Amino acid sequence: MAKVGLISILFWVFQLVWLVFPTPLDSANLTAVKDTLSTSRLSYYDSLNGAHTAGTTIIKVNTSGMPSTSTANLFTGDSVLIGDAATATTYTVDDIIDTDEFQITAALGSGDNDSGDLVIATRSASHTLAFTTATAIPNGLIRVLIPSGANGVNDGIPNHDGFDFNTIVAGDLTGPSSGGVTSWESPTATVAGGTGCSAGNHCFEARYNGTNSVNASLTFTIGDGGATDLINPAAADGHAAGTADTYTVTVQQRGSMTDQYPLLDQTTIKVAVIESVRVTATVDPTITFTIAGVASTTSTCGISTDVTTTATAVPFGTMALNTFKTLAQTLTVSTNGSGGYAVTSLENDQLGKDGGTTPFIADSTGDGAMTHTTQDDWNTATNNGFGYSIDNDDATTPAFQYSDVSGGSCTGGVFCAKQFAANADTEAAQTIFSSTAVANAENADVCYRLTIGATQAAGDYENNITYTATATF
Amino acid sequence: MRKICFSFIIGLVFFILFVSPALAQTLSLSIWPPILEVTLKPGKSITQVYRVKNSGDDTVVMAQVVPFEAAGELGQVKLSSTPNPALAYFSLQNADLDLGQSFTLKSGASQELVLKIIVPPTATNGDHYFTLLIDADTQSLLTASGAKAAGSIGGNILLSITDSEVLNQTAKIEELSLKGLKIKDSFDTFDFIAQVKNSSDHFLKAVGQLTITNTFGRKIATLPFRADNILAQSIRQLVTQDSWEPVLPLGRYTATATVTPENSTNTTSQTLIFWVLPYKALLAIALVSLFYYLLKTKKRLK
Repeated sequence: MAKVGLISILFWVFQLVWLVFPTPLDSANLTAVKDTLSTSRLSYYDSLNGAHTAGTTIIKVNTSGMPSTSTANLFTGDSVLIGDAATATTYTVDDIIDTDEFQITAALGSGDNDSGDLVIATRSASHTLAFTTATAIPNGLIRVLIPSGANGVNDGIPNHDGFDFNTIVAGDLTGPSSGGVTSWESPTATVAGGTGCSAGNHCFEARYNGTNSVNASLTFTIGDGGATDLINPAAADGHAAGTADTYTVTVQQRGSMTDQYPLLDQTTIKVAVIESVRVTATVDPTITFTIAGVASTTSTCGISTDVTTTATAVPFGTMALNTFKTLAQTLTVSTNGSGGYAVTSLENDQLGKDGGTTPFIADSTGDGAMTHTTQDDWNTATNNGFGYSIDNDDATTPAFQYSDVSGGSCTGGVFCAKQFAANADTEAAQTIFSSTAVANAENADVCYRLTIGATQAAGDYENNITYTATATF
Repeated sequence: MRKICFSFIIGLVFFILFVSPALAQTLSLSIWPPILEVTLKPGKSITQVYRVKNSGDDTVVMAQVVPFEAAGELGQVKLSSTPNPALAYFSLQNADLDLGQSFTLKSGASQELVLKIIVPPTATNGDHYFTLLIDADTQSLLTASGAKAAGSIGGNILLSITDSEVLNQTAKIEELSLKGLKIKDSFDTFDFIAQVKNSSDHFLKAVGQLTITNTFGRKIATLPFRADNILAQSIRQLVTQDSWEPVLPLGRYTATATVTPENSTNTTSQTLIFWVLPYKALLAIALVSLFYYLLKTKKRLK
């Protein structure tokens, strides 16, 4: 009995010593662990709400019963796969119409339009894991576990409960480097449920030779940052828009192969995926046209203007015989319409006495061949009449310019000019300048020139010139 | 009398010193939207609000709807005076305004024009193209010879009338070519011309791209076309959104234009094969060699 008591006392003494002086623990937590996703956008997973007409571009999606329940998290320019297991086609989102409708750029194919056909937009992200070792472990490995979900874990389709493997291979990984070890082996990727990787998590490993330093900062990148990254989950069951779904990522440091890779250090962290916020702003397409007067003595069209004009009046005033007078106006167009614009001109008639039809100052024929469609040099003041030229500032495509030495009959490069098209002669309005792209305050000067001969009846002559700016269709 | 003179002088001085400066007169009008694309069934109607803004001086403007036809192949319009019965489809819903009625638009002011298009049930299928034209009325007075200038601004309206759910437009690429010679120099610019004809009775929006493959059949560029409208039974030159600027291209290239009318699956395509050679550089080298050879020969003869 005494022996039993002694043994019992010794047992409790040992227990006390064990408790007071415990064996140092080898296991610890990796520190400063973080997983940075290249994008934290949820993938999109919905289905067609009812059968659609083949050829339509308007897609209506279900608002219940699917991981995604609205068009939130879809964006213009996204690629969406629409169809079923038999046929599916990738389309591009052209516009988001409302909470359950969006538009695609191409017509919906006849095999992709059944009710319930899936509408999927995948968002792939590379994972960059950064962490700091806590323990010096010889010939071990770093293992990263990323949740995979239960089904279809490697089919390229987003899961609602984890990240799809997306057929990642070893070459898509960038393992840790340095950290004090002798060498790192090429990292490996194993799909959840694969050899040595339990279902529920994808496994990514980097083995090393030698012993790592304590407090070594390491990074492990999963995915190539391009086409082959893990696919982010779609919205989880019960997901509330604007609230992140979180998933647990585990980073482990294990011991050597000879010890069967025992788990020594481990840290778990949470990563969050959430819808992106769609920021919208509307810029109305518009076109603006401005006519402004030009002061006298302004240098334009290679001359100095004689009289000040306003936006609505080009007053030549009293004319001397066989002497040029040149006046100018500035026309300016802005448009954010992608197709551009055109500015045309049309006079009601030739300059008529007191606005009448006769007598009139004829439109000039320049130095011989000038019409409302053909430009010609006009340097001789005894070639009487009325006409115009253009001094382009920054308009994309002027019809012609005063300095032209070719085009029409112009060769001199001094004052190449045209007649205005006359509505009274059923002539079509002529383009002054144009653009086939957006325009920011593109402008050109129109230079009006008049010279009269001795036989011109005395009086005031006038006409109306209308400039019309229209966007292209 | 002195008081009167004094008051007059003081008044004159104040007038000269504090008279408001004359601002340069401008005429400046904006219209939104610049284009309206409408497809309506006979018997249906649509209302579109237009906004006209005057950023110039006070002016009097008038709104009218004018038919247009395509001018050239770049999307420009040619206003037409030909009567069009479809003009009767248009009216303004503003309580105090109608088409053809002038109204004052103060400087900086905007005016909304509520345009209604009512297509009668008896209207036949087809397209009609109009411009909502805002004319600024010239208020200036000329005291001697001169011209009165007036400005107008227009927004285009493409109206398709159809009793069909799907228009099923068709297009054909009439021409795919390169500006200039068919054999291009390696240092040339590459301007592709893609003329597409709308062979249907309704305007269409052309969606497509130009892909370029090199001698080895490898795709080296994809240039999307801008989605421009092509009027019914007319041709439009499509422009690519980006230009092709290869670095020292050499060899045989194939450009394939593919166009599908929006909302249809009727794809059309055409291929262009062209060669790119550095012939200008080769010519220069040949000339230099010839010159060198002649120089050497001349020296030898001496």
